[in-house]
Formats: sequence, structure tokens, C-alpha cells
Amino acid sequence: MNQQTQPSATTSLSPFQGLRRTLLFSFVLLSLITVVLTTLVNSLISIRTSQNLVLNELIANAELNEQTINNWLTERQQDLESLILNPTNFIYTQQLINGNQVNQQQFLAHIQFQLFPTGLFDELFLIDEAGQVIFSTETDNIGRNHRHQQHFQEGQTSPFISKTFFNVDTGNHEIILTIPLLNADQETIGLFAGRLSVLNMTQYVLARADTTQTGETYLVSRDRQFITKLRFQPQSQLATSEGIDITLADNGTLNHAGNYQNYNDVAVVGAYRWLPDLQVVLVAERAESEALANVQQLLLTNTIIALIIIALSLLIALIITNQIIHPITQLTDAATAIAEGNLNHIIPITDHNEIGILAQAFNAMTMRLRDLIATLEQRVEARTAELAEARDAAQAANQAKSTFLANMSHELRTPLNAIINFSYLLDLGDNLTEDQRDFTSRIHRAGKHLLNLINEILDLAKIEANQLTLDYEKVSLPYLIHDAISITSGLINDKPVTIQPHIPDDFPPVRADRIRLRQVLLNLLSNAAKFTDEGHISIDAQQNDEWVTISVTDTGVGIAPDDLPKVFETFVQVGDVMTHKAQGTGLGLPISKQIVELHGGKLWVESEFGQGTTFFFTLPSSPPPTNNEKTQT
Amino acid sequence: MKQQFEQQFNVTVNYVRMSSGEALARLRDEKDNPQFDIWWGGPIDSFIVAKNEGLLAPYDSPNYTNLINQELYKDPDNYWAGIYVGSLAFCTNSDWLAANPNIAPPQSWDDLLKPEFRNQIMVAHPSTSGTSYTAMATIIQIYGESDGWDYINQLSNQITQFTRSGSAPSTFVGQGEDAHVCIGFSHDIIKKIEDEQAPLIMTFPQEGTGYEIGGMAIINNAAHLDLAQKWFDWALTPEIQALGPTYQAYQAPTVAGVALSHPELLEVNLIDYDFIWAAQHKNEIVTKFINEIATADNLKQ
Repeated sequence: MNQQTQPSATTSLSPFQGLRRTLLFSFVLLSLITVVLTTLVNSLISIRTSQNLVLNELIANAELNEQTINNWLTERQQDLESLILNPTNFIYTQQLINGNQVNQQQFLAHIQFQLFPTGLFDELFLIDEAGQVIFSTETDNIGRNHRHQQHFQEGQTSPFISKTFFNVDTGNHEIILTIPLLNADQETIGLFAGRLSVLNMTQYVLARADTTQTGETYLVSRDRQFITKLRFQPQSQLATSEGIDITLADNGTLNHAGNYQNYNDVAVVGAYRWLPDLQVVLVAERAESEALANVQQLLLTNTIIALIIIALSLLIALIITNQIIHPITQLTDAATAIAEGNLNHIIPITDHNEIGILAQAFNAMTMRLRDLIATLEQRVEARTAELAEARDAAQAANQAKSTFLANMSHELRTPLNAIINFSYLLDLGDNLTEDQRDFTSRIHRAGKHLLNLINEILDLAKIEANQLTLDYEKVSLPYLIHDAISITSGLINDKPVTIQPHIPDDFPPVRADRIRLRQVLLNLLSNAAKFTDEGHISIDAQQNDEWVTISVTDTGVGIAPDDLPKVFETFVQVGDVMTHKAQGTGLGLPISKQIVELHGGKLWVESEFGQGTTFFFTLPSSPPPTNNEKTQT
Repeated sequence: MKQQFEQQFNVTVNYVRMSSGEALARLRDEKDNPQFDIWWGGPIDSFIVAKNEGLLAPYDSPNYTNLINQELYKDPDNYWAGIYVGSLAFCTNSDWLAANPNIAPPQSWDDLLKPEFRNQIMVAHPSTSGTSYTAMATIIQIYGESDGWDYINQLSNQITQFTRSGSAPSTFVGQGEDAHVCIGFSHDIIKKIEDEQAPLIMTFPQEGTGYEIGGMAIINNAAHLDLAQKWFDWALTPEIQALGPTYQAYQAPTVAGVALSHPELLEVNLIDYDFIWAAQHKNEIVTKFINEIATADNLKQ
């Protein structure tokens, strides 16, 4: 099989395949990477900056609130001081502490008039030297003892602010403020104390803490209670969030800030710190969504700009790609046209760049090709004419040779037949001397040999002139082989050679030209008889679905390996050098081979020098049917 | 415990450490909207009070059968279960004793009233601390109502400050700053001595000492009842109670099949502490204490 790849002239590309796609893809990718990277970095920096801004703001907020709370508590201390330094109150307290009977209702009314209406204190009370409450705005608490308490023990010499504590009685988180009461000798004779609710306090302090939409500042006690009002209803009264957890775990050694989920699982930015004086966590938070609203606006703007840039670069990429691709497409079209045989295609030259030069060169090349093809056609025509002339002459010569051969053989055979027949007749007569009989016999044999030679030359001529036609019919091989053996037996004379046909009588008939097949068999058998001095010659025939194989095997001299290829050459006789039997024309085997091949078979030889030779030939089991088929009887 | 439970059941446990009185106050406060599922630890006196106030939910745990003594270690109505047992003891700062060779550590409740211990004793306030309430109830049970209050009154003169939490006194006494003698649970004192190398000597009162059964209960209307019950069952298994000493909780277990880390803490003269009486009189005793002995304001943290 000879496979050839044909360049297809009809290969075509859709607009977004091939070079255009590659170029477009590259341009877009390049702009995408640049824009996306820039936007990303820009956005990340913006987020970080904005977060830091908010964090710093919240930290400032937390610090401010811490300060505000402390200031507020100091203010309340000052309230207590000014209250107690009021001359009327001073007298009341001194008398109370000295155990004098005082109209408590009057004192109470006095205090309430001065300070209590502000609602800043939950309770105001007076503690004597022994720690006993001797006067209180909450009369239930009178008689209770504070001597074991830190505010009593440490409040003896200077004003004291307690830590935040959980009042088991009220369920509130509270702070107690005390200021020492001194007598004329500057000795402490008791304490004046105020009780503050943290919730109450922070309503004054933290309420104004954050003016944003989601921002808030609140306090959480050590036992995780919200001790100030929250801006949003909490899911759980149990105060937990990363900020609170860290602050409580850290025990107030560090101040922190960060992003985390608040008590309601809202993402917040927060600053959180431990207020050691109050023993509470102060948390300042703002929802991330609000804190980063500016960033989100910026991100949106960034994204829109990025999208516009990408769209623009896509447009530019399309235009540039078109500018590059259009002339290339023209070139490709031209090349395709030429490949299809249209040499009149001229590319319009629009650009004066590399591609323009290429187009120019292409046009020049097309013109040269067109000229070249035109001349080539003329030369081919002339040459064809010459060849036709030569062919005609050769055909005429060949015809003449065949005619001559036919004529010659006819002309030769006519006198030769006369010689053969008359020499035979002479030999039949009785009036010949021994010598004369010998002569006529020689004439007869020489004549027959000559006739044979002429017949074979004629056959060869016919074969070469393709004039040998086969006359197919059904042929019985056993019969034909026995016939050939009986003719060949004469050649053996008195040599100790037996001819053994191995072919069953019911061997199916083959379809062949009977006369030509007999010629082949005779040729092979007579060759075998000629070159076999002792032993046997056997003939075998076998058949399968495809082939009938006939072989003739002898035990003769064999053929030297060098000579094997030559046996089928015309006019070559193998075995000449061996003193032997330069009988025959040397045309038998070539003719036999041609006959077998005309039948569609093959003829070949296998031989071992000095041991013997086997000729094989095959015939197709079913040769082409012919119209004029005869049936052999 | 928290980590163990979180790993085992793949849930997050939030916990808040509070003293018994604070916990009780908080539960009362949140009665209509409970924020806790489990109340873990502290003497059962407070649990009985909470049960009577309807703050707890009963639960019939299949693991009650693990308890050494079901009569003693669980509520007859299944409102609470005991998770540990611990006895009251005294601690004395050994550095202080070394500096004052004529002072011996207290060996009886009466010893505490000795002049050398004036302003040297620290104990928690019974309004917030279950430890302290156990101590006060023990004193009243030993001395009787009238003598008991008299004793408490005298004792208050020996005391520097009342603390919020029951284990705080041993901490402060161990630091030797504000006081040098404490009343507290023996397992808390052992923890300070063994794990924090605090210079403390532990003694038990000869007259007899009170003890606590540490309780556990499910809060009424708990938001996570399933998990609370899981915790409840889980805590009543020997495997979990055996964990105690690994996190320095040296109380005795309430379930069978757990080795005691410090059996000697219960091999002392224990009084027949009446938990029911203690619970019934808790509000009354605490109020009396606040009004007559020491206010509950601004307790030492």
C-alpha cells in the first residue's frame, strides 16, 4: 500500500481559531493578570489600612471610656466630699457618729434634697468606727457591719473606690465609694459611703460612647455577665466572644484588638481591655460591615474600574489582532487559491510592512509559477508527441517481427514436414541398406528436432506477442499424467529408472488448456528423464481450496545452487558443463513457466545438487470461467 | 473536664466559675430565661435550696446505679446527684508558725478563738461561698443554735476579711499576706500544698468537722437538655470521676470503682452533717450572718 498525504486545499479556520485565538488570548490574559493583581493588592492594602484606622479609633474609644469611667467615679467621690463638708451635714454626721440622737428623717431629707435626686447613687450610708452602718438611705442596711471589708479597712485614711462586685442580694454589679470622716483632731471617726450600680453608672458614661450605626461599648463582669445595657438584644445572657475570652484568660496583662464574632455572632472589629480597678472587661466594638463600609465602596469602585479596563483591553486586543490577522488571512486565501490551481489570484497590497513585503513576494512568486506552468505544458505536449511517434514505430516493428515469425515458421514447417514424412516413408521400405536406413533415420530425427525447435520458438514468439490464448476445459489430471508418462518412457530406454505416478484416479478434474498443460507435463517429465540415470521419477498431485499443486521429483543429478535462478532463462541450458545431454532448445522451462503463469499459477524448482530435483507448479482450483469450455471424455 | 467532654461529644462547652451563692443568685435571676444547662460543683445545700425554688429539672440518670450510696449521694426526687465528697479543715501558714514558735496550728474550733489568731483568720462569706456555709452550718450543728451564733460572733473578731470564694482563703494564707489561718475544704488545701507548694499545714478540728457532697444538677428549662443529660450521665461514670486528681481535684468520688487519691481526708472525725437542715435554714442563716456578723458587700476577690 502506498499511502500519500495529500495537502488539503480546503483547510479553513473559523475566525476564533488558530493565530487569532492565540493572540487574543495572550492580550486578554496579559491585561487580566495586570488588572486583577493591581486591584487585589490595592484592595488588600485598603482593607488593612481601613481596619487599622477603625481599630485605632476603637482603642482610643476604649481608652477614653476607661478614663471617663475613672473621672466619673472621682466626680462621685467629690460629690460625697462636698456633701459631707456641707456645714449642716457635717454636724449631722458628727452627731450620728458620736451616738447622739439625731432626727434621721431630717438628715435623710437633707441629703436627698442635695444629692439623691440626681439618681447617681443607689445608697448613701454612714459607717462608724467599728464598721457598723449607723445611717443609710436604705434603712434595711442599718446595723450591718463593714469592718471586714476592704473599703472599710483601706478607706480609713483616704477616699476609696472598691472593685466591681456582684451583690448576691440585689443581683447587681456594684461599686462602693468611701471617704473618711475626721474629727477636729483629724482622726478618722467613721466613713461616709456611697453605693453605685455599674449599670446605672454606665448609662451616664457609655451612653455617649459611640455615634456610629453599630458601634457600642459595654462592660462584662468576670463571671461573664453583661453589666451594662447592650445596644442589641443578646442571644445569650452568658457573655462569650473571642474578645471577652482573651481578656479574661489573659487576666488583664495586655490590651487587645482584632476582628472576631461578637456575642451575637456578628463579625466585628473590636478593642477589648481589662479594667483592673473595676475588675471588668471593657469592650468597644463596631460591626465589620460598617467599619469596612468605606473599603467595600472602594472595592466596588476598584472592581468596576478593573472591569472597564478589561473590557477596553479586550476591544484593543480585538482591533490589533484584526490588523495583524487580516493580511495573513489574505495571504492564506491566496495560497489556498493557488493550491486549488487558481494562479490568477493577486493579493491586494495595503500595508507597507513585513507582511506587505511578503504579499509582494508572494504575488511575484505566483506570476513566475504561472509562467513556468505555461512553458511546462508546451514542453510536455512536444515530448508526448515525440513519444507517441516512437511508440508507433516500435509497435510497427514488433508487428513486423511477429508477422515475420509466423510466416517464417509456416514457411519452414512446410518443407520440414516433407522431410520428416518422406524420411519416415523411406524408413518404412525394405530396399534400404543398413547405412541408408541409418541416414534416413537420422534425417527423420533431425527433422523432428528442428520442428520441435521451430514450434517452441513460435510458442515463445506468441507468448511474447501476447498472442497465446488458453483454451479452458475440464481436464482429467490422472489421464493426462499417464499419457505423458507413456510418451516419456521412450526417453528412459534401458536406464534403471522407474516413473511412479502418485495420483488417485478419482482426482477431481482441473480446468485448464489441455494441450498446454500436457506440454508442461511433458517438458518436466522429459527433463527428469534426461537428467536421471538411475532411481525414480515420481509425479504427485494435491489439491486444496485454492490451488492444485503438481510436482515432478527425480533422483537425478540435481542443479547447482548457482544455476537455480538460471533454469527459467530463455536459451540457457543448465548442466551443459556436466558432459550431459545438450539436448533440447533450452526453451522448454521458460515456456512452461509462462504457460503456468498464464493459467494464473506458479512454477518453481527445488533442488539439491547430486541428489535430485523437484519442479512444482500450481494451478488455481477455480480458474476464471470461460465461455467455450469443452468437456473431456 | 470541659476539654474531655468537648472532644468526646464534639460540642463546645462554655463555663463560668462562680461561688455557690453567686450561682444560686444568678439562677434565680435567670429563672425565666436560663443561660446555663448544668450546675456543676459546690455543696448540695445550695442545690437543695435551688430544687425547692423550682430552679432545677429532675433527671433519672441510668448511671445512678454507679453511686456508692444512692440514699446519700442523690436527691430522692432526682433533682441533683453528688459528684464528690470533701471534708472541712484548717490551714496555717508554716512560715508564720516558724516565725512565731509559740503559736501552734489550731486543732479545734475553740482554738480558733485564741488571742494569737486575732485578725489572722480568713474564711469565705456564707452568702457567696458554699464552703463557708458548710463551715457555719457545721459550727451551728456542733454548738447548737444559740452557742453557735455566739461562737460565730466571736470568730468574726478573729477574721480579717471575708472572701467571695471558698478556696480563696487558702490561697491568701499560702501567700501569707493578709491572714495566716484559713477554714476551707481539705481537698482545696491539699491542692495548694501539693501542686502549688504553698507553705501550709493542714489540721482537722477535734470536735468533729463538717463535710460537703459536691452536687451537679440540670437547670430547669435548659436550652440544651440532651447535652445536659449526656454530661450528667457521663459525670457519673468511674472513668470520668477518676480524672479528678489529674486536674488537681482531690475530692473523693461518689461512684464505685474509683481509687481515692487522698483517702486520709475522710478518715477524720466527721460529724453527721444534716444536709436537709442546712438547706432548709440556708436563707435564714445567711441573712442573719449578713445583718449581724458581716455585710456581703465588696467581698475579697
